[in-house]
Amino acid sequence: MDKERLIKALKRSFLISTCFFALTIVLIAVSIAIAGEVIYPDMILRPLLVFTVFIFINAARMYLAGSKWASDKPYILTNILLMPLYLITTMAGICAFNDQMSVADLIRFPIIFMIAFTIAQVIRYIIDKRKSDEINDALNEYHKEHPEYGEEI
Amino acid sequence: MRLFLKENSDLKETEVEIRYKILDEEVESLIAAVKDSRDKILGYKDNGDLAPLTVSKILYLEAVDRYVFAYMSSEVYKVRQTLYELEDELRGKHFVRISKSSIVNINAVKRISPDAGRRLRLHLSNGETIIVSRGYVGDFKTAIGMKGDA
Repeated sequence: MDKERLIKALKRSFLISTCFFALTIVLIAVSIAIAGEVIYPDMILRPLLVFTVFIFINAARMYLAGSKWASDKPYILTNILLMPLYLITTMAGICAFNDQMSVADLIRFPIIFMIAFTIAQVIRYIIDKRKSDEINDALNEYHKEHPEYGEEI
Repeated sequence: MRLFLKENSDLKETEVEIRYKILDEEVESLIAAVKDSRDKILGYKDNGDLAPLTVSKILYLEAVDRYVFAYMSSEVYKVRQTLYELEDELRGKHFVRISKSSIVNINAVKRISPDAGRRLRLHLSNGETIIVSRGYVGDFKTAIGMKGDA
């Protein structure tokens, strides 16, 4: 395990999570102020717990996505392999803000999430791949136009 | 072989013209020496020994903490110039900045694949991969002759 890379991932994840946590608290405060209700401690505590979980899950995702193994695999593959981590975060978020979750919802939401996530990833990857194929063509042209530097390095 | 040296203050940069009857080994080594002299930066080994690095053999340069490292196909050297200075010096020598902390040799790039977050993944000739940050994708595309839209 690369300790340095893990610490870097944790730091980045902490920063991202803190931003999202702050944004969530502001949104909760604004919506409660508009509704004229009282803020209960668990309204702050729940997001805090979710974002604490998110720090570690996101750090794990960053660490794995940046590994040597993942570096030569298409990013869609690593994203789909890491889907359970995204799923846990999403479900933690949904459960934290919804007290009336039925068993059917607990089964339905993950299925919907997995289908939507996979479709979105495939579409995104196809678009990105098409763009990178064009860049590859341009790179090949570039190498042809500069044969004096085209020798194997 | 005869050697002529002429000083001309009107020239914008030093010019070297080699006149030869036949392109033999001697002339070729002369050409190589001239090419070499304009294609070197100074690198330092771990033990502090000086090592002139051929620019075209550098795969990429990366700033890590306060140091800049030059990555060759199998060795890594410390360079005492800043990344900004190197970016200026290597402009027009097939190098392009791909992130805040790295500059890549376009000729070392074998293949490009997409990466998450609209970034690009460059597969280098030594098997390493390096990421083009989203903000530098346009610069990279411009450098290889594409339109600079990211």
